[in-house]
Amino acid sequence: MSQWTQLSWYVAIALIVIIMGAAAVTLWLIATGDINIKNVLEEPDSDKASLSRFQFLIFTFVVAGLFLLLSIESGTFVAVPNSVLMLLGISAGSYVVSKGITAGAKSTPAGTAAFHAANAAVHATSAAASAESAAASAATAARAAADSVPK
Amino acid sequence: MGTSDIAVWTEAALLFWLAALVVLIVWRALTGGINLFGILAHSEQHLADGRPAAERVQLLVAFITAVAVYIRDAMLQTPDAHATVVTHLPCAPPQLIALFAASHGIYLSGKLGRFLNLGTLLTSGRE
Repeated sequence: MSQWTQLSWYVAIALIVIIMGAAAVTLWLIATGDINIKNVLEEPDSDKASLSRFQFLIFTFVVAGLFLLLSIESGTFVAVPNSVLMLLGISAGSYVVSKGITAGAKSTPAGTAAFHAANAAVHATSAAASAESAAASAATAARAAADSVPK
Repeated sequence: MGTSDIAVWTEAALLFWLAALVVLIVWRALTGGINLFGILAHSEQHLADGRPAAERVQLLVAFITAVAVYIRDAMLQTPDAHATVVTHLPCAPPQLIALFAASHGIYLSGKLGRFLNLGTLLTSGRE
């Protein structure tokens, strides 16, 4: 093995170790919560998760993951057929159009009012649910206290 | 150690990493670590009703079906007759593309319809 071939081996192995190390660290930071992915599916001005964002994200990850796996297995970059690009295009196009419609709806006065009213309704609903849960806990505690009193 | 050995080890490590990422994300999604609140509702207002929107449910089902079919095709793919290794991602069947496009079309139509209704409400409010 010539010196240059040997050097290229070391560089290749070092690159793989660096990339896999970065991947492992990323995974570790996600697992420990240092990289926060809780709001990854939310839009900036909403608490609601977005279905179009969800499907776009998952589909892109699936295609990218398969591309990586097959490329490593075959030792070269595999070709991406037009039909797969079409699926990715539909997924991405749907996301863009969906966000366009949402932005359009919120930009109208009625849309803005409906948005704020809906937010208020959601917060009121969750507050009511919390109150109900607290009342249930208090009732359980009261029952337990009553049972513990000697008769 | 040859090139193929490095490729095998790298592929195994990548598979392990992808599997760990999928397990982590699914676990986070199931335990509330990723906010999926209202993903099947078309608006915050609709959340109060507690009923899922039909066009969103069908999109989710069609999407999961499409992804599952495509991953299965990729895993079962064999090299072409003149090649020893796989040289391209599997082609998506036309039926799958049609299903995917139709499902997204229904979803966007529902969303657009609601937006246009909002416009009607706005017009009637001004009169």
